[in-house]
Amino acid sequence: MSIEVQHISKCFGAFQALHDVSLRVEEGELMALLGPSGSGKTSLLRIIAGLDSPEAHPDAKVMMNNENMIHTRAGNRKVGFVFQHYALFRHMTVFDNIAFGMRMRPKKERPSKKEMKDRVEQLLNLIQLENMGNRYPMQLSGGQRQRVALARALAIEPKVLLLDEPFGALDARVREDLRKWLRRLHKEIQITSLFVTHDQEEALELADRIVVMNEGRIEQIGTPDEVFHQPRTEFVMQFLGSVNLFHGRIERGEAVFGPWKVPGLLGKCPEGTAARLFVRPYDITVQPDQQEYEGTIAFIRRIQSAGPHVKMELEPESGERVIVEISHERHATLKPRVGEKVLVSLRNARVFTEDYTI
Amino acid sequence: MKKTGSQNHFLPGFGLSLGFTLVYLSLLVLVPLSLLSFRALSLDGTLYRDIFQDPRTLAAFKLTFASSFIAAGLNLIFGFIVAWTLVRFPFPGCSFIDALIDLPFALPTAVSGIALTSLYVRSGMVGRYLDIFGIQVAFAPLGVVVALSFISLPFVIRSLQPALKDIEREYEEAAISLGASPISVFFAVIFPAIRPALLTGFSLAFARALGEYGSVVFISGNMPMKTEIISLLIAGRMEQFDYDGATALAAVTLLASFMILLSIHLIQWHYSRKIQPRS
Repeated sequence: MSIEVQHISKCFGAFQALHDVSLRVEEGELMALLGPSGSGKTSLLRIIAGLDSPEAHPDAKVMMNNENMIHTRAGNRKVGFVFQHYALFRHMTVFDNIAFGMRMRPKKERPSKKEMKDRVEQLLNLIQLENMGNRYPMQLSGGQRQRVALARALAIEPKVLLLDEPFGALDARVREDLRKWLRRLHKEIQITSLFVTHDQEEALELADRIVVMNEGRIEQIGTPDEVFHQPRTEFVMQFLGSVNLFHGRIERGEAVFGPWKVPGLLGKCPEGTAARLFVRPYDITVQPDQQEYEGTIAFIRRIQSAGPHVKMELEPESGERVIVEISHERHATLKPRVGEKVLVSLRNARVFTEDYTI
Repeated sequence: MKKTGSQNHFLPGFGLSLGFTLVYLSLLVLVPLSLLSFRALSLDGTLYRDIFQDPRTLAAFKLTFASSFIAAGLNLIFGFIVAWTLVRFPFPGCSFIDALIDLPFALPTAVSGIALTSLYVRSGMVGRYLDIFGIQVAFAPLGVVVALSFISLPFVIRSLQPALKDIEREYEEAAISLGASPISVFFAVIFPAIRPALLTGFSLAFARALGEYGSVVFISGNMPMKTEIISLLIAGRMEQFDYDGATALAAVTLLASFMILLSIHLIQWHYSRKIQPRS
């Protein structure tokens, strides 16, 4: 079932959490709502689930399969909701937690005891907790509890699955395992899913498409590749991955940022417009200070080689310091030393001005 | 034992604090109660037989336990409503109401007894309207229930409040999103979570009501066979220097309330055992 929201705004007192947000999740898609805390992503998710209501607006819509559900009660929306802190019922066994949704159905639609048992066992299989049905939530680890919460949401045979920071409360190792597992699970059951996260890595790895949100507005919607490689706004560029930022202005058709110049802006931008240059640390080429190479002269101030890449801090003759990431292989051939002079050039710089992007 | 204590905690003084706890509890609780038990055990058996054969004493037992039970039960229901309102719907002035709840603790019970009596007698502010419907509160068993409800009111509310605050919105939202109706959310999710607090509040209120003396003696009228409570009978025997009779009566009351409180705790243990991790 597809989800579509239109013209959704939400205020909490004087604070506006959502500004006229519209969004569509296609059937079977796994979509991420990515943004810092306070960006409105959880509010949007809760409004889709029916746990919160949006501000009144004549065109405000929460559509599921092209049917407006904005006035439908949360319990009737056929939505499975997974909470960040699991919200498992402490006094119920894992089995009873999962069966809860089925037991709450009106008598006519309620499955028989046998059907219920089969369904719960099937779900326990799915979450790989086959023999844990009679345990209590307190006896499970964080990762296990979150899987039970997911099974409980799936037990009502929802048409869409909404997950609020599903891995937020877990430690790094468990989070990674669970991420892979959820990706596989989604492939298997193909349910339209929308999850909230502030972890860009999680969004890039899991989602088919990512919605990047900031201050209650959508900054960009796109595949992980699109938002990562073609960020449409400065916020997206900065939020997804580390980045070097320089401030400068347009001079004679070139964007000038201290020692760095980006040409090709002639006639596109008025002279003197303030501009900002963004470049990712691995999009910077470092060459030895020899005649055959070109680039800006810089001095190496720091080298940190522990980690997947070698990080270097370079100081150009004039201007701000730059963080550079090179591979260990390159590090071995270049053999850089602190204090050494090198030649630096930018490969994939992006310039943002007030209303223009290259 | 002392070693493990000082190894695992930053603050020292396990031995000292345990010693203090034992001495304090012994002086205040253990010694008086064991003296009562020793004395009760050394009494002539006929004294106990008399208790169970004397219709006046039996009537007092019945009234005491029944009215305490009803008072605790009333507080369970209405105390829940008050606690729920205070926790869930903070309104202007709700901290003032919150402070009012402790008043029955602070007020001398005789004062509250007299105040309640003057309200509920036939000519009193409330009593005159109840009289129209033929309901008599003061100088009737109902008055005992009213007085006991008053003095045991704080217990249920005070034990419920933290438990209600502990229930996170997420639990209710989870239940709602799973299709539960508001009524099932209450009975399937909220009630089991506050059941231990309800039981604690009930047993505290019940225990407090059983031992009440000051407020009841004024409102009940102390009519033999009708509105006499056990504490009054015990006090009466003391006044006549019948210490043995008073002891026997106290011992029977103590045993009965002990059995009741024990069974409440067993129920509580039965439920709480399930949600604790087996470590």
